Amino acid sequence: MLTRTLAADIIVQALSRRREIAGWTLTRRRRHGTQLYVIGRDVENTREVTTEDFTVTVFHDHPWPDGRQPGNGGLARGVSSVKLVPGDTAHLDARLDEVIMMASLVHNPHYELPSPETLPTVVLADPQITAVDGTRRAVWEMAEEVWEACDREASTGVRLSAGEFFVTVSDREFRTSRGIHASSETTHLAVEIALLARGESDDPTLEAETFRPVEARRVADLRLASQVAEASRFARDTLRARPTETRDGPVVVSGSALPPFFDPFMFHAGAQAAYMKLSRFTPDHTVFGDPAMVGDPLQLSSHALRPFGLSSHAFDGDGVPGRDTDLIVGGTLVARHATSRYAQYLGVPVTGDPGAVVVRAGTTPLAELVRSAGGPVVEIVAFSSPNVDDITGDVGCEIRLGYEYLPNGEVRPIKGGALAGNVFDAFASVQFAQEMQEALISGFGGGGVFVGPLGARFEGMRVAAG
Amino acid sequence: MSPSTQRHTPAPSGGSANPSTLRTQFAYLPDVIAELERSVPYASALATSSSGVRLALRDSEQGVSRRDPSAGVVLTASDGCEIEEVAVGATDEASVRDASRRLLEGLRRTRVGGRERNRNAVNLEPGDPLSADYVTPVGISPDSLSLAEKLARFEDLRQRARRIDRRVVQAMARYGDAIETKVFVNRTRFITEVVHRATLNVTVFVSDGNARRYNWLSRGGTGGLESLDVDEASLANVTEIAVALLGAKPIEPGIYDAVVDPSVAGILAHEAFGHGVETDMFLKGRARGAHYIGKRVGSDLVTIIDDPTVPGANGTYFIDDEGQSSSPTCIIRDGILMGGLSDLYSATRLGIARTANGRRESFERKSYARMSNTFFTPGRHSVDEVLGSLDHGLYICQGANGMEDPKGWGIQVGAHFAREYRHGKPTGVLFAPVSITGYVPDVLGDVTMVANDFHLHPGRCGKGWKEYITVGDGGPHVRTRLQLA
Repeated sequence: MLTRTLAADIIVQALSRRREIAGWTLTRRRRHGTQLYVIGRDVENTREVTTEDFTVTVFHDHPWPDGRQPGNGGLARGVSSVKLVPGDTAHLDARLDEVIMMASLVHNPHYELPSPETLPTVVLADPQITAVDGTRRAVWEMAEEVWEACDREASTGVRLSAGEFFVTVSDREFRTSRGIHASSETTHLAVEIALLARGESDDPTLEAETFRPVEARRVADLRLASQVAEASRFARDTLRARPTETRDGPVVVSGSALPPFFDPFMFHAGAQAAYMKLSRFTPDHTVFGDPAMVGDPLQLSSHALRPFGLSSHAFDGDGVPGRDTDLIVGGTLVARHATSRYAQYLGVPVTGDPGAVVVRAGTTPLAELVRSAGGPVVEIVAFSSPNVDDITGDVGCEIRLGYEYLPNGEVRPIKGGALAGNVFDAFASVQFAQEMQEALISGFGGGGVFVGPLGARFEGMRVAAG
Repeated sequence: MSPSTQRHTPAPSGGSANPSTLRTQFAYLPDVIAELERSVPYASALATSSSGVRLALRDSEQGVSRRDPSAGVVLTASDGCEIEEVAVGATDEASVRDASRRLLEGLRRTRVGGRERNRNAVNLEPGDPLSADYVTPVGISPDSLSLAEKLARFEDLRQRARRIDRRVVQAMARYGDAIETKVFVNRTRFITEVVHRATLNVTVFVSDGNARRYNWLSRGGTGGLESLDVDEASLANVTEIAVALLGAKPIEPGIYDAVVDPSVAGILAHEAFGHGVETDMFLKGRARGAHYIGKRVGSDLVTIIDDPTVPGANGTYFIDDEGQSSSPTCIIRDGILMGGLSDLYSATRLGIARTANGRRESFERKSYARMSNTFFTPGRHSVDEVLGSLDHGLYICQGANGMEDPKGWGIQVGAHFAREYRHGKPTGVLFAPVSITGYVPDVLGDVTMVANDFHLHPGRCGKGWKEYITVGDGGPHVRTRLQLA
């Protein structure tokens, strides 16, 4: 019904009539989904959401003001975008007038839209979910799995506080004035669960909580039963955790606490950061500078072609085919991830939008990394929030749960306090676990996916008391 | 700006998005609600939209775009046990009536599905009758400048920041204005709201050839361009601090006597006893505060308020997303926890008073209990007195981020830097970054001085990892003891 009101063809025809623009792109997104919110076993809210919108980007070439900054015959390129919703049917020409006017007012160095290329096949939609009523069935399937898993934890004093279950089917159609016409369909599942653990006391103020967000494209990939089991263990351990003490010894960061530490590497490996003069990395040079790397060599890639990967795509926002790209090899920057625009600005190969952040595992089992040789080793499994500064690499994260491995073999849970340091210094002497994990970088669709070692041991970070 | 003396009032309509247009556009909604309530005991509708312009300016690059329009309608129905909602990205009558049919189908399907129903009845009440129209007062309308003039004004600002020091490698200016409309309808209420918003952020990046640092200033909130003025001294201060941060040291972890500036105080208030008293978290057993109502949680100098009526602030609105008229809520008075911030569902289930804090990220998301503008109230000391009292301590500045822990009452606040103070004077030594951690009652219990200044800062707030909404937070300078790293 929505497609009747403002079809992509109508917008394309309107754009094609505009002789004053140098190019355009059109992205049409349709989404429908079901959301389920539960409190314990009670349902609070069930929601259905349907949306459709069209993002139009226009390019306008015009002289630079005052004749400054020559290039491409002295022309500047203006670009502007507008998002149209089905209700905009009657205002289409006015909306296009407006976005073209906006593009005519801004001045950027010239760059070309990509030409059509053969696109890879990347499967991103679960047919069971795209089927009729598939989203509604999936949210209930997810909720039942969580409820059953929580029932199994009941004897340990752990219960489900609340859960949120989202299933969305999206389809995207992408067209450009250069002749690209591509489409993709994706399914996206997101679950948030909060578990509460109670000890021997009946005092509710002495309970402990674990909060866990997980996302995937298929129900099975969420691994909800094991997620609940691990979150339950974390909640019970939080209950008996003691305050963290200040120490300078080795620190292991593991599980979902680790992926945000790679954000600064991705930022500085980007062509846009280089163009903005913010990148600290130089191609074909070590990313660590001084001191030189003495730990496991950092091997970092961007993978956009993993089937059912959350960060995977057959084509990016410019129509560039998705691809896998090595960015840092042996601690040296070998390529930048570059969208079409910034690849042209810097004269580097285009890679398109980055995909999953893939880091090569080490050769040491995690159990070895946490083993104490002299003093205690601290392992951190959960931060309150991943506070890692992309620009400076500075880290300052409150410890929600960790473990202290003592020389006598005792393992004690700890909480509170903070981990402080700098990732560029710390990774120069890192040891990666040999086990792999796949985890969200910052949760709920915003931060992408990490595929890499289950843990990393740092010698140069500091644990501060809580 | 004093939160206790300035209150906004309903204003006459104006501009392209005005109440009479909204009333005409959504005149069909009362009938949709009446039709739904033939089948269920409670129904409501919320129609929202946003429109505006965004500018992003930096070296050799300029971006301009329309803000993402978010026009849609969400229909809510409760069968006395559960809530069902259908949200559509359309506002025309046919689409909304179709959504209404699907909503009833969903409820019927839920009933016949064989699933065990909630044991607790939830009788949502529509509230006293109210028909009202509200518009944000605007001093200088964004429409008073053409797009070309806006580009020129903020590019000039950016260039001025760029030229202040040779170590500046990049300066960015981001400007946005928006008109956000809201129409809420249930069987007793038909309310329209038009909120105008304008924001500005300038970020300066510096490098000495090796290290990179940055600093920023933010202006704006609800209203017009009147709140976006940036004087030369402020611009120079942003850059000077960024340059000084090139020589900043890492802080030695420990417990410090500290004065926090209003931006840091605001994040403390927000994370400590903002999230901690959102009553949907009470209902889920996720908030320790539920068991401390009427009990001491801070020193008697601590009063924290959430107030969606502060003129011009970023988290200001006239009605929440469930049709509740805005009014301030005292969370902590003189160190005693008074009560929480509620949405309709949790207030009904808990049998507590409703506050105007039922908010959605957009029509695509459900309503939760959320903050608006959350702040410490001012005290009696001058800022100089508070800072001068630091014999050996830190002045913690430029709040950057925070994370709540309503169950454990832990706290994490990230501040951009801290200045060392000895004998009441700055030594010139800077530490960066600074992470505040600790136990919330300890942080608030150690408050020994509160200044008489007051500043609110614009921000965005998530719930857990998502559900981002506009908020304000702040207060005065506050002296306490903090665990820093």
